[in-house]
Amino acid sequence: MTLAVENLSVTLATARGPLAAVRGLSFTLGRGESLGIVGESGCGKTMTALAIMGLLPEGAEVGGRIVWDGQDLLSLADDAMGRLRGRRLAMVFQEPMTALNPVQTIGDQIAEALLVHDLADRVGAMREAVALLERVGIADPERRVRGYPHQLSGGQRQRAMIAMALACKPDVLIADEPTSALDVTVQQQILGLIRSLAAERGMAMLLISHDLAVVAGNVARLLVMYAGRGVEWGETAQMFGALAHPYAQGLFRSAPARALTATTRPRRLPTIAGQVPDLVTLGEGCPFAERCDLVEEPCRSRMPEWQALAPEHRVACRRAEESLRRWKP
Amino acid sequence: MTFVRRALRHRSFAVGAAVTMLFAFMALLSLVWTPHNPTRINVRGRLAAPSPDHWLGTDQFGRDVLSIIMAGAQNSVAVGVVAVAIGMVGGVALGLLAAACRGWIEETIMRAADFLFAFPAILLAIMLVATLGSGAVNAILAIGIFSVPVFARLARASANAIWTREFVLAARASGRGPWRITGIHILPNIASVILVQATVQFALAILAEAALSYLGLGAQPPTPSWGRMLSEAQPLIFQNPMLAVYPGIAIALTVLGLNLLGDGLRDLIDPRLTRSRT
Repeated sequence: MTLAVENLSVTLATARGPLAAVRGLSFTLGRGESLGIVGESGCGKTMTALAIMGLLPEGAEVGGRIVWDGQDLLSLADDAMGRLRGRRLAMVFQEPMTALNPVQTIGDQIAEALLVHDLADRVGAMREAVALLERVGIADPERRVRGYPHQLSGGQRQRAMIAMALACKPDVLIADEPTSALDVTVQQQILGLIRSLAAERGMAMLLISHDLAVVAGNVARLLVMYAGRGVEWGETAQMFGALAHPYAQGLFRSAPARALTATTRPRRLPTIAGQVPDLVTLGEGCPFAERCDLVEEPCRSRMPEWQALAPEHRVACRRAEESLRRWKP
Repeated sequence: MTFVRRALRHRSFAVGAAVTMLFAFMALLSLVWTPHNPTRINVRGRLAAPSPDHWLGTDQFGRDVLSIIMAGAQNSVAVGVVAVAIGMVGGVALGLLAAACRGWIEETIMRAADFLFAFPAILLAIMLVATLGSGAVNAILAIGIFSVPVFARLARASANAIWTREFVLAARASGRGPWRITGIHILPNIASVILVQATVQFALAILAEAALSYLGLGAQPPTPSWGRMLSEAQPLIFQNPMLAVYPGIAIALTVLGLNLLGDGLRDLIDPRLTRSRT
């Protein structure tokens, strides 16, 4: 069962006119595979996740296809999509405090997922909830299952969220910035937990983050997005050895963890000059053209074709070779 | 700190609860005992001054005023409970439906609520009673119906706020449909606001019932009612003003008690407000 996103586009209605949040995005995610989507705020990562789940905000227009298990999710009726959500496709959200209902016990919220899809009766669901809490590493699960979200710490809440998402043993797990609201010390624990659970159950995992470092160690493949478009895709280690897109390079260089440990310690954090383009007025050219130091005239008018740098490494940049030459991992 | 201890330390909640409980107790007690029969007419003993036998004196028919006040509390409590129940159940259901369906269903419900809301409450009640006929049951119905839009608007606004919360998105992501989300996630999260509004509506319902009875559209004689005590005292306002003052005090105290209770309840239920006050 492969999840194939083909030429996905998401357009949101805003007061200033249609905003192209995602443009022509394609990727595939097979059973047991893992893919990280990296990019800054507003690059379309979350909209891509919501499009897969069929949870885009009201008034959003979707184009392209999202094929899963032989069916196009975008053309599926509401109730059919409702049966897939939670059961086959599950999602972990960024803010564990706001993504849990404050007036319902943790156990009820986990059990609820099983009850919705008729996978257990009340008693069985609660027993399963205790087992899940134990599996995600929450101490004293028998007591916690009767507790409320505010009685848990941030990391524990995110573990409870993961338990909720895993309750029905989904085939695809989408984690949207699962650790951005957590302490650095807890981040790697949570990511490690998600990765080991995905491996243990043969789930496909889509890990979304703005932080290249967070994603890199936890996924087999990486997709870098900029302004609604995919710009570079590849096998993680291979890609880091030869990061080719000028934006991807800039994103990598500006990560604080790397900048601070580099041998030639810079006095200022490296940044990318210019600003993120306005997605309402952005034209057909490469969205990074205005900020790119290697820009050529054709970049501004037409989106560059994807070119393969290796069997498992592709980039959408006309000047990829020049760019690659100056890359020092 | 436990909820009970916090509640007792909250002055307006404690006072409001005490006053409300006093009147509720009075209503209950009057079911089994009043100093005199509140409907027994005694022509020889009319307009008597307060005495050990008649603590608050008697009215122009010789009925014991304290007994009427006590039995009148029954009427007010019954009207308040039933009318608020009608308004709350109907209004909250409509508000939740509007928030869950959006689109034209929401528009239709809310515009209908706006239409009802545009009439002054008392005028609406008078209109309804005029159509349905006067009497205690119709007065309750009328008061209940005019509080439907209040609850509908509040429920829809609060429910819409909850619908935008991330845990609702998470619930949808785990496959829950709109009705299940409404029951499990929306209603419990708006229950406290609704409860506070219910105490305010309770006070308004008592006021409205008194007004309708005063106009002769509510409880019919000989059912004891505070509103009718006022209208019966009106011709004697200069000879025996206390006959109007007693039911007036009863109405004012009950409404004040309920409002204090509602205010206190709001503070106690919403922890953010409590913290900013101390």
